[in-house]
Amino acid sequence: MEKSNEIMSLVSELQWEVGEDFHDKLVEGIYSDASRIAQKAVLKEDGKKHFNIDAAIDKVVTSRVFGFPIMLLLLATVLWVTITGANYPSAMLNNLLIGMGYPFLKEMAVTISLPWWLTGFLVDGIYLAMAWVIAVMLPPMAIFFPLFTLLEDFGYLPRVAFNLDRIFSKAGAHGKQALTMTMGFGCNAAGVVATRIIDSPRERLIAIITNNFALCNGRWPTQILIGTIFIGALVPPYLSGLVSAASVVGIALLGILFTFIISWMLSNTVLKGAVSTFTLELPPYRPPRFWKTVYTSLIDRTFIVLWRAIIFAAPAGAVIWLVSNIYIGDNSIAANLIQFFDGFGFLIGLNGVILLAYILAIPANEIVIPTILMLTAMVYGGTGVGAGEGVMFEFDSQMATADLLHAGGWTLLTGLNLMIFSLLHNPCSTTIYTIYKETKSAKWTTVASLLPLVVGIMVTFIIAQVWRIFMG
Amino acid sequence: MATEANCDGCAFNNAANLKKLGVNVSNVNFVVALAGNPNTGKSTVFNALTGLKQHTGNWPGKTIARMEGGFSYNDKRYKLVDLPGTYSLLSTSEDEEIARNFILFGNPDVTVVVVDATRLERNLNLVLQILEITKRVVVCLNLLDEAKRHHIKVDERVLARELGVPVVGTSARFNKGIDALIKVVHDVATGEIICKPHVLKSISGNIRHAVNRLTSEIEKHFEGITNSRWLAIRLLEGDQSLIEALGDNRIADMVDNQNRVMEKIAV
Amino acid sequence: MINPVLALSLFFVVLLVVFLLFRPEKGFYWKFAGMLASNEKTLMEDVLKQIYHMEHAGNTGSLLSLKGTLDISEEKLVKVIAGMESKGLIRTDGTKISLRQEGNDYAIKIIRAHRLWEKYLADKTGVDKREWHHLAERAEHKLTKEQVDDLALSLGDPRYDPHGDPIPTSKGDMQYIQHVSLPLFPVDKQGYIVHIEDEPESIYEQIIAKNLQVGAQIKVIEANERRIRFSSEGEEVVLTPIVANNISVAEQRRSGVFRKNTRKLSGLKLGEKSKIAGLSRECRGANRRRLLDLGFVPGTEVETCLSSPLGNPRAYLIKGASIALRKEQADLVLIEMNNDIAYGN
Ligand SMILES: Nc1nc2c(ncn2[C@@H]2O[C@H](COP(=O)(O)OP(=O)(O)OP(=O)(O)O)[C@@H](O)[C@H]2O)c(=O)[nH]1
Ligand SMILES: [Mg+2]
Repeated sequence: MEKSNEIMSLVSELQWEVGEDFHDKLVEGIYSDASRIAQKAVLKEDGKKHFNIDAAIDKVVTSRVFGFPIMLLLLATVLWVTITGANYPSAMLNNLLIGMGYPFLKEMAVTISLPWWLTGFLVDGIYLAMAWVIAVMLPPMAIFFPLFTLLEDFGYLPRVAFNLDRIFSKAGAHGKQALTMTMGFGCNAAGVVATRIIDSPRERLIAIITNNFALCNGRWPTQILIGTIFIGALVPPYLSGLVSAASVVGIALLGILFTFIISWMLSNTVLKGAVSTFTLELPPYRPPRFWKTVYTSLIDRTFIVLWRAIIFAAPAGAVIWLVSNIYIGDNSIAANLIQFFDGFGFLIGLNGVILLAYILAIPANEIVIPTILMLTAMVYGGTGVGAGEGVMFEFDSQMATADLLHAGGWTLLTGLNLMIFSLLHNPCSTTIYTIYKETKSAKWTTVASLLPLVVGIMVTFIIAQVWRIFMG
Repeated sequence: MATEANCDGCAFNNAANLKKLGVNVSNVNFVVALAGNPNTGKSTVFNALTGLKQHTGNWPGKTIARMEGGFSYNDKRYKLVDLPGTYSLLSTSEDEEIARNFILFGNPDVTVVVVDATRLERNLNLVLQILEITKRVVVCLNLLDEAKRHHIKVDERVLARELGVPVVGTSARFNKGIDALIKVVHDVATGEIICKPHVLKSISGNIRHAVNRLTSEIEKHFEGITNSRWLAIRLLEGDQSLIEALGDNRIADMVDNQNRVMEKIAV
Repeated sequence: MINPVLALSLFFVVLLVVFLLFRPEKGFYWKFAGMLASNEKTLMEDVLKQIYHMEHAGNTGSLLSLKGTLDISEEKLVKVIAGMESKGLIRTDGTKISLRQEGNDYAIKIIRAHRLWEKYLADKTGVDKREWHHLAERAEHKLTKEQVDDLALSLGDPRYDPHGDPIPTSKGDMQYIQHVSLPLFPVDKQGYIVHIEDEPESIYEQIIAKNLQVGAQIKVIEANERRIRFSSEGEEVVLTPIVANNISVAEQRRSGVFRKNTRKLSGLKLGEKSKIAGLSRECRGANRRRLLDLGFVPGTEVETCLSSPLGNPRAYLIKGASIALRKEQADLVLIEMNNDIAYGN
């Protein structure tokens, strides 16, 4: 203690002496040493001017004319490749896990004579939920993550931040928010952690709160399926793939638009303040190592995210089976809840099934669609497979799914609003937990969780009313 | 310097002596920190040495948290710490805090500074700062393949002579030079190479005077301290964490640690 | 079923009400909250501060002068002053009011909080400088001693606030720099701005509009009773003496080179090269440090290498890396005027 006091008083005295530009002089001093050493050690091979490929690429991808179209094109291509590429393996996995694995397990259960409720709980609840998540999530992720990592390794992401910064700064946000937003397309929890690169607390909070508007991987299956059934079906078959992809791109862009709007609103109200600094180093382009990147992003990212989804899906499957098979009075718990939510659901152009599904799916967005299908089948009497009611299943074809949903009273409005609600609702539990860990504030965690939900309800509400006024 | 550090694939091709230990960091003999500017390949070097899969990506700021892994070489066990990139240790920004604190208070036995061979000058800014903090530094001159592609050549001997610490050229992504790097890290850790780091020359005027006065005051109070000049600089800048550290005896602990490390090498 | 038109109208009515209540600044809720905030303690501290400033300027405080500057009713003022006297903070002697030691310490504490808060706003938040004073006026009454000390530590124990005023240390020491007001500064001599008075606002606005800042180098070219003409950071500025009076200048303390031919980096066209002359004084705190760390140090070659599709930000090639900066930041980096430097080693 004694020592530190003596030192501190000397520091105090000397600080008046060195003045304010101590830091400047120091850094200048270090840099002048650095440049002297560098001059001695670096030899440029020859005086010739070499063609600079980096500069040439940069000129194009940040140009006034091509900058934004290229970004859009890349986004659309990645989504399109993911959507179309995932179709076939998805069907195969589905066939394997549900078409073959499921009956096999059922038979096994009969052989060892398990009671019906245990079979229902384990096989119809837990197993089917996990199988569905794998079949639906693995293929798109196995395509999306490697594609995304290739872009990342090439060095394109910082250019996206560079191009979008102007808009972010107009919204009072940090340019690096573009980076965290793109991370959010993979997984919002990862996007929230990535906001650490933003060193201004105000702008970091904005980035955290709005990260949920980046359409994450877990929500794509919903978008893709509903887009195909309701929007792709509006056009002739040969166009439907393209149009469905376009509708998903549209929703992703809507998410970006909301990122800007909400950032702007936050920075003009509760998170008021001017824009702080933005310095971004644009790294050189580095040709990615294709196979290695594909391999590692499969192993590291895809399986980790998948594993998480499975862990959340298993108990959710169990709960779904339980609420559909435990009765209060004449109806199952699920039926009661659906009835309860139906009124409000109608008001925002959705229905009770969808709302209940979203509540059950708070742990992981991935299981929204299976939950919706299962509940619809139960209430509106589809032809389900398996024992007991509320069996999660994948219908063989999208036609069958469409039929079921139409039977459940779904219209184009329901489909559209479901897509929008899937974009604009509370983050999943992992993301909420991550937000809490990063902000260490219950208040901001609550804001970040509820704000998207409120926005979602308002938007779907307005669309529903306007739709009803003009479309009858 | 006792050993010539730069050498392409000569004497020590010691791949056989390296064992990647993954997340196992128990019973380690030495702690090695990986520091450097953002996006210079620290995590790539980390992965090459530990066999782990720390995320890498071509943009500054990919790594945001500290990550630890282990490897063993010549019957010594090492803990390797991958840090987020930093442009400087002089700033107070939050995104650089983790790296700053570990380099200063984590007491690594060896600090490997990964530098980008294509942008040497700006990377040296950080190297020179680290040299003020610790003597046991190895400079890993990474991205040599890129440098070649851009027709830039760096004379490793000259660089090592100027900096007073060993310099090892690598292309971490292609696993080139990693063996040589381990060997040199080992030698520095065990004291076979003793470094005589560069001392900042271009600080001038009243600043030099103030720094010198404070340095000798600190040395008077903490005997055996090796980074007194750095402490002086930071204190004059009003570094909050240091002022606190001075209060709660962390500086005294640090000096004890430094002395212990010296003994370890002497033995 | 609810009629959609009705539902929609209801919704917008609710939205409007919420907006009127909570809209930034002008919302009824905020106005109401603001009314509750000004209380006796605030008033007392404002009085203390005023007396301190008067004494510092060599005047003595009186009821009349206080009433003039503080803009409150005499009744209230008398009550507050009586309360302060009984607390032993001030001493009254006829019409004269002066600070006791305790009151002096208290006033310095408030000033410390005020100036630190301004420094904080300037360094860490990016809040517009027009709002610093205003916000600090509010913050100074709320901060506890511990908070103020923490703030000082986290800012690196700064010695001067962004207007150039010294910040008292926790023990109450402060050092004023010897200075004169700009109109009195000798012609053709090199000086630098040490202080810009932020009150009254109308004059402060005019100074800000000219982009003048504390720490900027200055050389007076012409001074008479109609106008003061001088150059600062490479630009020529003309002010009326009334405005110039609010700027204080001291003689150059360091032997820096006078920068006359500088311009802003943001003006460097795509593909053009130049050399960094330095960072503007306006570039503060974290921003300044980051730019220095990135290599924006005097003498370094710089080239504008990219512009984003919307024209801002731009990327600058510096020490081998391309660094993107927003225009507002590039405005704060000064480069040499002539860009035809011979390149070579
Ligand atoms: N061509 C080439 N690329 C490399 C080499 N080392 C690393 N890279 C690539 O450079 C990029 C950055 O590597 P990282 O290991 O993530 O860099 P880092 O220093 O950990 O970066 P931060 O965590 O952001 O500070 C990645 O895309 C790597 O694949 C190398 O030796 N040669
Ligand atoms: Mg890294």
